[in-house]
Amino acid sequence: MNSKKNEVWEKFKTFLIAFTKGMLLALLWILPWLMRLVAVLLWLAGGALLMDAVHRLYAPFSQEGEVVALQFAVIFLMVAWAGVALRRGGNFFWGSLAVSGIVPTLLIRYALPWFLDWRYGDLVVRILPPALFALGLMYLTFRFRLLRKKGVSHERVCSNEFPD
Amino acid sequence: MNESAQTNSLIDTLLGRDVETDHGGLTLGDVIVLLLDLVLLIYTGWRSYDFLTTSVPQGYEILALVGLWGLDIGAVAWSLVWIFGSASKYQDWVSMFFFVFDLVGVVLTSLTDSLLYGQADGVLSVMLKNVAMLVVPLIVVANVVAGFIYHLTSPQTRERRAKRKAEHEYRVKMMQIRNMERDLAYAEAYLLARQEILDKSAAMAKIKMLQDQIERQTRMALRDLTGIHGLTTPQDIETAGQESLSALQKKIEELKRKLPAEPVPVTASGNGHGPQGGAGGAAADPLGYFPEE
Repeated sequence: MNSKKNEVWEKFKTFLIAFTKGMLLALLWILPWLMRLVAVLLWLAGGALLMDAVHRLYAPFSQEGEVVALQFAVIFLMVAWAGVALRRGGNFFWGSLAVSGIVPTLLIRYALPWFLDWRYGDLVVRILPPALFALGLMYLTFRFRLLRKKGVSHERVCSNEFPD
Repeated sequence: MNESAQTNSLIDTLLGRDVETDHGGLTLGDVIVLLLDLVLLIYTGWRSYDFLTTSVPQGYEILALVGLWGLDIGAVAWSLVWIFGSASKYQDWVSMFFFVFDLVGVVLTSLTDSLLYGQADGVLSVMLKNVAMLVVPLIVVANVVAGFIYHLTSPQTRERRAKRKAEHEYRVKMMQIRNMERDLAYAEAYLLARQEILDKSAAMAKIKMLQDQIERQTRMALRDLTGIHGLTTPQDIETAGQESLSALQKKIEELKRKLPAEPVPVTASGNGHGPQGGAGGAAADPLGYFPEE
């Protein structure tokens, strides 16, 4: 009876070892994808936290449409970040997603309270969207002017529009 | 062309890579900034509109939309004008200045509007609201003025102005020529009319002289009954002068004494015209209108 028990136990132990090894192997095999999944979840969580922060920051002095526009800007930035990372290549993509989740999370968790306690923090929050808009528009203006000056002028000269 | 090549071509066109420049086409970064700015434009535009609605009467909120053309939409418009439209130095200055000017207005209205929610009584809110109430209408009106300045300084407008100015000068000079021609025509008409009058006057004067001569000869013929005709011919009077006249008067006196009948009174001039009449008439006729017979 004992010998039969021992035999079953040995077989079960062998099975457990094999199963554990198999699981470990499967886990190791699937680990990169798990990490990728974690990176995506972190990216999503970071975006969600940013949207929540935008809502908490801007809702008290904004109408619903304005807050939605800013949240949409956050979504767009997160997607653009992912797009840039994807364009850079696969080696950077997953890490970039993870960073884009971790950094906002840490910033919102630790830096934002300190920032809002700062005397001028509220003013900076209020002025941030129009300032970003102004900076972006200035960048686009100078950039496009540079492109047009070099590109269109060249085409015009080549088309003999300016014979001199 | 396969599907992949078509897609790449479309992306290249959208990103402006088909435009040959020293700086390449649009990059993904440019497109991201562009789209981000579009989203932020919604926020700032909404803020500006919300602020502008507080400065217009109830029921006239449409004016706030009009005011956006001097703030958010104006900034974008001046940016596009500076990129694609301006062609002269002054146009560059106007478009760039008002691009920055409108952006300042956008930041001001956005900040002020956000402060008016929750911190309406704060020192900063009150100060910014007062500033914005003064500056924002100024920005909007200045945009209108800038539009006119931009139009006036465009090369096409300046070309048209120069052409119009030259045409005006040409018209003025041609009007002077026409005036001179008109004056000459009037002067010519005046001179011709005067010449005609003079001709008529000369003819009338000649007729009058002939009439006077006939009248004088008639009277002299009528008075020839006294037998003194021929002694006082005009030739004698002209050539003899005062001495001849005196001699004639003496002869007349002698004849008076010889004649038994009543004397007939005879004057030297005879027909009432003095002896200087003929000489005077000749002197007044230097062009020979009245030839002596």
